Amino acid sequence: MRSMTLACAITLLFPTIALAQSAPKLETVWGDSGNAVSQFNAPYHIALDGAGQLYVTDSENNRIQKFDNRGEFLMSWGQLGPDPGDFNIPSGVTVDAHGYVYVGDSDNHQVQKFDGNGNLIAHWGHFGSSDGEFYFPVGVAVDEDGSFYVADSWNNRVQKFAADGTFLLKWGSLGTRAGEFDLPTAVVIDRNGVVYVTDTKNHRVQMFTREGVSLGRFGEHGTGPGYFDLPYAIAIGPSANIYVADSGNDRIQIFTPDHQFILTFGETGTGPGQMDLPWGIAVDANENVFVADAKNDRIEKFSAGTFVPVQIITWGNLKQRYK
Amino acid sequence: MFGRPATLLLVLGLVVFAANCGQDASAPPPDYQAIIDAFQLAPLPNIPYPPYNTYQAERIELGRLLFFDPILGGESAPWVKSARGLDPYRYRANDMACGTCHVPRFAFADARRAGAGVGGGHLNGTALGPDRNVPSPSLVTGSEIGLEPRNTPTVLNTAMNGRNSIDPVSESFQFMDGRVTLGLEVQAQEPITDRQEMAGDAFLDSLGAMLPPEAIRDSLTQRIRAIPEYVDRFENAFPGFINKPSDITMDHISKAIAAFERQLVTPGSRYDRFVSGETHALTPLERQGFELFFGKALCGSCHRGPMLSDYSFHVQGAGDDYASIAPNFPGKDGAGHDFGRFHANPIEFADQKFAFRTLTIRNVELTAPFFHSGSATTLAAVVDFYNRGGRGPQDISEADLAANGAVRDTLVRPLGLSAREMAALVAFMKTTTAPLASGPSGLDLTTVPDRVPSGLVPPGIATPAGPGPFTAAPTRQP
Repeated sequence: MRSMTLACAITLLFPTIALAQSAPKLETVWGDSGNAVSQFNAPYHIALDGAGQLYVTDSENNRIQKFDNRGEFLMSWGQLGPDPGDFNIPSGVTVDAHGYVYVGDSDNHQVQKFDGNGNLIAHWGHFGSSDGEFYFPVGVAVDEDGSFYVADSWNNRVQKFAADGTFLLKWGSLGTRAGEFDLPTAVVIDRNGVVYVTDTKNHRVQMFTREGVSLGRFGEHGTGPGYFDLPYAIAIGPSANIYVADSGNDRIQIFTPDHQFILTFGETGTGPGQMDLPWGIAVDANENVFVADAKNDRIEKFSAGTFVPVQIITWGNLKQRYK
Repeated sequence: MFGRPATLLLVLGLVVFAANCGQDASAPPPDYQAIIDAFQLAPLPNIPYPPYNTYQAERIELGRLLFFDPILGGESAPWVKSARGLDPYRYRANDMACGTCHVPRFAFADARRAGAGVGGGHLNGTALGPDRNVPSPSLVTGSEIGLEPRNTPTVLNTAMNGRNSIDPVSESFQFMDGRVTLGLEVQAQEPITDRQEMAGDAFLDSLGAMLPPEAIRDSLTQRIRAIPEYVDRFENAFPGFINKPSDITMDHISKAIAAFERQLVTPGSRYDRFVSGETHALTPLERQGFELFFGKALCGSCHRGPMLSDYSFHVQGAGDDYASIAPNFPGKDGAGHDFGRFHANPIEFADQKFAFRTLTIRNVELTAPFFHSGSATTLAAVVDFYNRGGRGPQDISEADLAANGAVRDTLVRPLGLSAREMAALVAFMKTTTAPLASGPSGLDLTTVPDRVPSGLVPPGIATPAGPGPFTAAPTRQP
């Protein structure tokens, strides 16, 4: 009873913790289940190029679909197969500053590089756990110098390669401590060179230097603000805010560049703005948010939100504030 | 995924209340549906096929052959020559297949306290389960290879080890210590690199140390690539992806094995019918056991959900009782204890000694003995353990737990169950037994194949006289 009274008092004392912000609003939805144009079968990740065009890994249709910023279909490429240019569960996708598209071709255990029209440029890796080998690679991130990072998910590590695909370094193994992973799935690098990795089954995001030195982590398993359940993807907006696809909780969470929770949007369901296993996320130059709604086989576009950081009221920070 | 402890306690209180009501003839019948909802009980889920290993009949059949083929055992003739003057063909019983310990007639376990791996059939080629003989010397080095330090879990329903989602790797846990957190495909790559389970002393470097797991897997892959029938079967099982021997990788081998294992499911138990709403699928005694299981006996605190497991780790303190397994049995830590979760990563899980993953109750009737070291030989003994709160002379004491930084789960405490209540619990658990589902296209999942592509003799199949069948496998250039 005493703690209930206290909780009520806190609510009365801090009634405005979520004001002065608006979550991104649903703008457009496209796609449904199937293998025709603009249909999807488990869309996994999304990437945007400099012109705002979207690339979606349509994972179980084994193809990349390309759309304009409003969801108009532009082209697609790829089919199931082991040969260069084919896919076997394409999952991660990213676009570098020159418009080249990198795909984590997961079940072929390789990374493939294409131009924006789907012409194969290069491919690297095969099944294994030695340097430069992969076991179900997913996310890819390209740095300013063309070097790229791969979330080598079933090997529970991140590998870094030079622009020409030469292996440079790796870090991580199965575990829960800093620098360890349990199913890393997405990797992104911010303007300061901080490498973010979604450590999916540890329900957190980890940060590293370009050399793989741990810079910390945020998030833990749960359903409350700032908590995650199987985060599969991450994106950084032009505001430098961090967007995390909190896939198991069927929502997107937004954090400040210093990892303070701002807000969450999305809920479980099939209706407009709802989600069922959001696996991928991308943010465009206008801070519009695109979500790969995997089980609903569709893409949802949300307009940019306005928001300020929210200090989550916990006993810890209450005591900190008034000690 | 499940409710918080406070919610659970509230639910438990309601369930205990419901159970007590059930004993009063004037009270309304127990609200079984409330229990089913509270503990998220459900019939056995459908097989979850991951996108990287979808249903494919040829792959399942190939996986069955690999599962029962001793070619994946390290000390398999003709790849290993005996260093001890023994004829490796005659002593083929040193060969190990997955199915040597996961035996169909023992519900894909082995009915032993501790598994008998490499060398277990050294003197008796058809020996399986309790008849296997260990410790036995390695065919290669002559060094003794002892018992495996744990009870062998069943493969039945392991397809559902975790959350039934679009991506089954997302919530999987394999092994009692959870050292594999991905799916069956990854699990299948582990025992083949373990000395006692399958590898023996076949993969040693020049200093006599075991090669790293990657090298062992590569070597075993080479064996498979050299057998034309396997190459043909892999080509059919992975159409378009395997066109020549060198295309075969351990990824494909483990996928095929996992594809077979994923079919080993047992839907349609009387328990499944009961939680589907068919109340009279259980007898009154079994229904009482159901109420107790999710009430007074506290079993449902961990054994809940569709698989009757929370897939979490708990310290219960069931005794190892290694002295009764074998003289000087070293246990998992080499000093007479099995620290469970701790062994998955001694640094990361330093504070989780004696914690083991909750195993499913499904088919538990068929998989005796129980607990990590098989110290309980009957279900009645299991119930008795919980009824005494794990505080018997044969159990791990509070002092022993404390000395290792462990604390017994508070739910393991004296329960005050009557003899009838204990019998009801046993009766209820037996209602989860169900026969194996039929395989694709009439494929028999319940028996060991008579022959496998390597030409070796599958586990339990009688050894023909003389070395005749043990001819070297023909090779095919990669």
